Amino acid sequence: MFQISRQKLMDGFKRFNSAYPFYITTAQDENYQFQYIPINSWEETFFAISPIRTAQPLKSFFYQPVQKVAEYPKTNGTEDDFQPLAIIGPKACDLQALKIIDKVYAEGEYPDTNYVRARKNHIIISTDCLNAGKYCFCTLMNYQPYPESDFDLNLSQIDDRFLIEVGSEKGQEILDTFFKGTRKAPDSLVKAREKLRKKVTEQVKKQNENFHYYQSHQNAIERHLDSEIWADLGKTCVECGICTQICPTCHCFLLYDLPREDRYERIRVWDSCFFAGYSRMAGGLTPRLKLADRFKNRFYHKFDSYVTNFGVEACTGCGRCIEGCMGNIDLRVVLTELEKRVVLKENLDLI
Amino acid sequence: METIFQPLETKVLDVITETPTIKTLVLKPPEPIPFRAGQFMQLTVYGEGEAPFTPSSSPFETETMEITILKAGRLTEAVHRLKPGDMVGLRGPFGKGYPLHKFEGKELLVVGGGVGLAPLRALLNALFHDLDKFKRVSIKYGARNPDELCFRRQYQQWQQLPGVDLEVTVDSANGNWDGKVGLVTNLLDDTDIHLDNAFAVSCGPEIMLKFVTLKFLSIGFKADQIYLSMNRKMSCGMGICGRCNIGPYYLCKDGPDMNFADIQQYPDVFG
Ligand SMILES: Cc1cc2nc3c(=O)[nH]c(=O)nc-3n(C[C@H](O)[C@H](O)[C@H](O)COP(=O)(O)OP(=O)(O)OC[C@H]3O[C@@H](n4cnc5c(N)ncnc54)[C@H](O)[C@@H]3O)c2cc1C
Ligand code: SF4
Repeated sequence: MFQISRQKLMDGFKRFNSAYPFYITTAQDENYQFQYIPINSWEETFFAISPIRTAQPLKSFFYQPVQKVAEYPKTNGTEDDFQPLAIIGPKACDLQALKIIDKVYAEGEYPDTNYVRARKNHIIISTDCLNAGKYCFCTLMNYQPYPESDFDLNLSQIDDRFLIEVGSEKGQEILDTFFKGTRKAPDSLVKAREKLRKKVTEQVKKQNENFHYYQSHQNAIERHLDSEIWADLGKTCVECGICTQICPTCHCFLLYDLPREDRYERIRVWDSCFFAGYSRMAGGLTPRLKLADRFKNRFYHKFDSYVTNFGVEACTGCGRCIEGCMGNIDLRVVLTELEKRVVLKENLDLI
Repeated sequence: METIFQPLETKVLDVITETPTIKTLVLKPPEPIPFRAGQFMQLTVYGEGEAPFTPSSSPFETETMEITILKAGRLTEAVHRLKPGDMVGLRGPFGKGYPLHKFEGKELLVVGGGVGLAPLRALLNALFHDLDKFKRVSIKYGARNPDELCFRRQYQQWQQLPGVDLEVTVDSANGNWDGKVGLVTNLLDDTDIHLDNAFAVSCGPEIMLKFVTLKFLSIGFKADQIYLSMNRKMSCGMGICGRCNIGPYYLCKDGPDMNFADIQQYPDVFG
């Protein structure tokens, strides 16, 4: 663990920005974003740590909303505009979400070439959450509002000093190359970080104290595969699909091809399981034609089949889907309702 | 950078008209593409995009690959406009394919509907290649009308193989048809297959699959003796784009030929 003064940190970022373009979080407007800083254009005023996660999920740097993934007929030495980035300010929930996507895009039978390259080459400098966002519920999903792993460097601000934790060899290298004037952090600073972290953790817990899950979500969902409850729980859904787009773990896509001057390009776009056309087949058959079935599928995928296939739930409690939903659908409430009815059923069974 | 979505540029050697709505592409990949019966390819029509199709040729024939395609929409209409010499793209093979080793020593009831006989022909070709390993191959096939019978030119040859029988029906007859009329499920009513030593395999439109499966069950097959080609919409073919799941299974990766016992409990199994 290292400490660095604000001034030295700024100097470091300036040097670092001569090698990498940045995406860095903004800290105004509550609707925190990533802002782009091209190579060699760093100014101190850009430096901001968003108190909570950004609106935009971290996945979008690794798996872009619209991305060319192939072109044909093959030409020799096709141009390739891949650029390693430094992403500054993402939070723990997004780092964990990337690990969840890794299961499919990096660790499966068919690693996705673009994703894997971005994962290998982008630099992540994460930061602790400074308070609990209105919709945050990471603690409910057994995550913490501060990164413990899966970053290259992690920054925690304590008054006017910064604690830097190194999370990878690459992180150490960057620290050594670009950031001068780091010192070993004294215990008092590490303790101060613990205190802040505990405070934020308690805040998140407090605002979710009305939600209790007594059994696994997987079990609750398995008990409702054939139930009418989904129509009820999803009745205000307008099928906008925003919940899946801003979700840091959702990763469904569609491929389509476009003609260019002398060749064709294959484009991958984010898709959403909420759209009826998502699974429409030739001849008109659409599995999950009813919205209720698609609504169920989202929960089934996140909390049931993902657990079966990868041993982890595909949700880290970032709360974006709750914040973005036009139908005021709250994932925590859906899970609670499912659970309640299971408990009810079991009690009835006992009687 | 070469990605997993890059199609392999492949020449169309020949185009065979099977029926007014079905054509077979004979393809010559730049390098052989070994596949197992039941595995499928993603076929690119230049500029139109990709769609999944199961080769209909024998897995033992690797120099060329045949794919038999029903005109069903935008992409398949473009397929039907292809001419010998045109280029297409291929990715794959994907999926598991049929568990042929499990079929050894068994009687096989193979039930096809419409263009569903195309994917089944890869299986049949594989079975025919080692006929002594299988006790019996009983084929039941139905099409909308006599003109729509796919691979008609081969029926006689199939029927002459030892241990192979074939029965064909059409939903509605026309002109000089003197064969059976009725749904393919009717052909299953009095099958003399030995249920205790058999597997049933089916491919066809999803609505047909549903009724064939119900029929299989009603004549005494157990769910785990039934294999269904679950040909849902797919985009990637690799279990990553998300859309083709039934329960925890991705039909592209874990299928497309699924054991019915694995999927029967999911409410959306037949759409
Ligand atoms: C594993 C598998 C094997 C198949 N094998 C064959 C075969 O051997 N012969 C044959 O004629 N047909 C086969 N099909 C069905 C064939 O893929 C569809 O008929 C075809 O995709 C329709 O495309 P379209 O553009 O003409 O139709 P449209 O309705 O215009 O569809 C537009 C797009 O939706 C997608 N799509 C629509 N229907 C399907 C579907 N049923 N399956 C997958 N994607 C779909 C495709 O990406 C297509 O480009 C198979 C399907 C699967 C999943
Ligand atoms: S954000 Fe809400 S309204 Fe939009 S698709 Fe998701 S659940 Fe439905």
